[in-house]
Amino acid sequence: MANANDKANCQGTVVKRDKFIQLKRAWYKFSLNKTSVIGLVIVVAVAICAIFQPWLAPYPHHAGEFVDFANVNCPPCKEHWCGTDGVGRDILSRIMYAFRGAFTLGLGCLALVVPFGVVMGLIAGYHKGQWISTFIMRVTDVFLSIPPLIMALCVCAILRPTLFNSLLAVSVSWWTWYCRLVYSMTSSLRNEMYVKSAELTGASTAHILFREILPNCFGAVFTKMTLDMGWIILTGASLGFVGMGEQPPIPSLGTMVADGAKYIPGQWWISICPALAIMIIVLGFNLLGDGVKDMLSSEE
Amino acid sequence: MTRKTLTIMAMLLCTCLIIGLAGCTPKAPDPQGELSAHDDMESIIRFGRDWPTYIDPGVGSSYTCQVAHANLYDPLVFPNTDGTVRPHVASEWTVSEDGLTYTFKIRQDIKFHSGNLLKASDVAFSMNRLLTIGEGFSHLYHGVVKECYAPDDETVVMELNYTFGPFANSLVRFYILEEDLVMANIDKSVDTYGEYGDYGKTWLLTNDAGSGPYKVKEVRLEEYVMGERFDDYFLGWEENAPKNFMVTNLNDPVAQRTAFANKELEIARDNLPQETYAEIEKMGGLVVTKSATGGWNMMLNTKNAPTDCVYFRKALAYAFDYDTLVASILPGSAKSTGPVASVLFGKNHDLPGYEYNLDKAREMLSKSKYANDPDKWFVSLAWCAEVPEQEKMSLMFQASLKELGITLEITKTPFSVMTANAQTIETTPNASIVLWSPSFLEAGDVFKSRYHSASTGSWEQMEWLLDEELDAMIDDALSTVDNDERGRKYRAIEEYIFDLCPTIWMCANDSKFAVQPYVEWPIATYYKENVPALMPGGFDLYFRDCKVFLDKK
Repeated sequence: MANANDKANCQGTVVKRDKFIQLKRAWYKFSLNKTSVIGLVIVVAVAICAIFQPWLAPYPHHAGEFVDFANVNCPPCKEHWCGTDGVGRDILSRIMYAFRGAFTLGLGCLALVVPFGVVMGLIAGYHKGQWISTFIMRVTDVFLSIPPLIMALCVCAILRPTLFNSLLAVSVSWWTWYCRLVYSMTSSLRNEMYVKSAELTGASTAHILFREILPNCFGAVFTKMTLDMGWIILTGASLGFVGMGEQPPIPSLGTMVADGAKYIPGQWWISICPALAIMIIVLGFNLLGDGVKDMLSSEE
Repeated sequence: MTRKTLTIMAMLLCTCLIIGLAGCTPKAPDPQGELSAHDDMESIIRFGRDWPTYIDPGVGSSYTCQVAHANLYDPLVFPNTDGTVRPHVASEWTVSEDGLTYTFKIRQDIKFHSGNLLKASDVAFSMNRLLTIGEGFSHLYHGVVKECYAPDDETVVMELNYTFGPFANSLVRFYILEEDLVMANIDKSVDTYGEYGDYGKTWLLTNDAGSGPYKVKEVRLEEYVMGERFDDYFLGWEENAPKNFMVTNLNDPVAQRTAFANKELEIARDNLPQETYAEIEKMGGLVVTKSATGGWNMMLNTKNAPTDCVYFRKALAYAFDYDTLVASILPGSAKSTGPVASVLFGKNHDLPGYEYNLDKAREMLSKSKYANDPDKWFVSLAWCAEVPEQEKMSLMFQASLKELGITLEITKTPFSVMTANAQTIETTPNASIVLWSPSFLEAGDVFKSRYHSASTGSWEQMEWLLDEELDAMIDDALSTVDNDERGRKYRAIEEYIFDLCPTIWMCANDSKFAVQPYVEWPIATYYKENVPALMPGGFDLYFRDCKVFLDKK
């Protein structure tokens, strides 16, 4: 009995060590690309700012109902690194708070669109040639034919402009890309031997889809998710720019850019600082996504 | 594609998108480019705000429309800078003893742009057309004018349904159109107005039928209206008077400043951010503050909770920081003490006005029917997207209300949406910020247009007062011919409205304008020298009185 336990423990240790080595190897491959590491650092830094904003921001109360007309349009200085806006609020604090909204939008949107899009893609791909596949893919085509920003604007215009509604608005058209991606992978994977074997052994469709095919799509889906984060945040910023995002006083990067645009070039910092913040966050996710893609493709 | 290429492409794309976002301000039209194709275009005054959609005085009523009307057409009487009126198309007039019949003598030396002489029948035609169409400023005469006819070429008679004290003053909004020209251009394929087809509305969108100092030269839909000097104008021309004018849709602060810097804009519009005026002043522009005939109003919907309670409304009024508004957001503006601007006839100068006092606001809140129901302390506020300064006012108010525990939800709303929302009680927000000015310079117009039940459902009254007692008081005052008596009644009405507190009278509309140093604009000179000068909207930009000094350009 003791021998059996020792053997199991030994096997567990080996598995853990293998996983650790795998992880180490993955990190090694990831770290080979320096720009990907920069991307990861940016994303982590932004995430820290978003999560710990109340403690990190120099003036956290400036993100709420606050005005200070004695300090309006103050240029970047020691007290206000990114200056203040037209009602005297610290722009850096508001950017840090806006990161939280941007992350919520990105993650929330992906949490909605990925499961739905992936499931639709699996069903359509596995049943390729059947009516259900045709139906799903034609619906997908209809949604794909409408530019995501236009669709989001329409949805936001109908609903009240809030973060949650922006999230819904972006999600309405974003799932189609995951559906397309998984559809093409599934329609090819369904002819693989291991899928055929599972079918012959009488495995259920759900088992085949979620246990046999889905794990093989994870890499591509995960890479796309990383790359999409940046684009979703950018779309959210565009909504904010046209007034369809978060409403005042809640900070939103797009709204801040729009508010400052009318003061350019005199008070450039009001618009440029949040614009740079958008650039940094999108760039971070894109570089990270590149790295993830390289890492996963080399593993394959 | 290599990883490096992809990365570079991603970086480039991000940079382009961000720069695109930051630079996505409305593109200014290129008036200079347009103008360079024309001769004599240097002597021009260009004013940018929004495109005057309806240059037909029977239809349009927005500020830029008023500017176009004042320059393309002649009114029956002309406003003076002290709020009174003087003869213009009508050389004189008499009023019957009962105050119900006005008889006007029409000048016989006025030519329309077509070259034809202006006759009394054109005046009667214009009034009947205005009343039939029922748009523009027709509300000033609708129900008041019973009949308008021309017994001969020199005389026009207007019979009223009831006495209307400020009738002569209101006629500054009554412009004369050439009957023959309009009738020659009516569209009979539609029967909107029976035998008059479309009453020439379509043709008058891009043409004029007036006798004003300028005639339409070019109308580019959604962009601008350009007028050129009418050499045969009956009052003649002075040296250096501008040969052309242009009213464009150049609205965005950045576009205004850029056009001003490039000398492509002679007069920069009102309600730009203070920062923009400061920059224009640095360029040598003359920034002047226009005396207010109207004011900044925060209209409170008196039919929707929680602003349906007068004490709740008063709490809001006491929570607004008027001093900061006039000191920091709209510097140079005077505080309002009620619905009527201090310079208008009929103003009640005894009203104390509301002040920023959070203790008083709490006291009012405790008297409110919602005192024990803080869940209802939610106020929706719409601010006009076209006026950036309103966001600052909203944010300031939001911060104040937070102190009271009231939640203020702010929404940036385009004016067109605001107008649409104003059509029903349910869709009208609790509070809406609107800049309003009277059509003619008397308290009566403020009451009639802003607080009479007849104006509900329009952007001019989002308060939805629907108060029969007030309606009767207003009608009674307006029908009073005796000036002293009418003034007394006006003051009583203002006090009555003040107690209802349907509006937060934020401050007077002492709007700023900026003018190029090579332009002489009489009104600006008055403003600069603090000479009291009141003009109804549109007449303040009467370009005939301006001068353009090309040698200084």
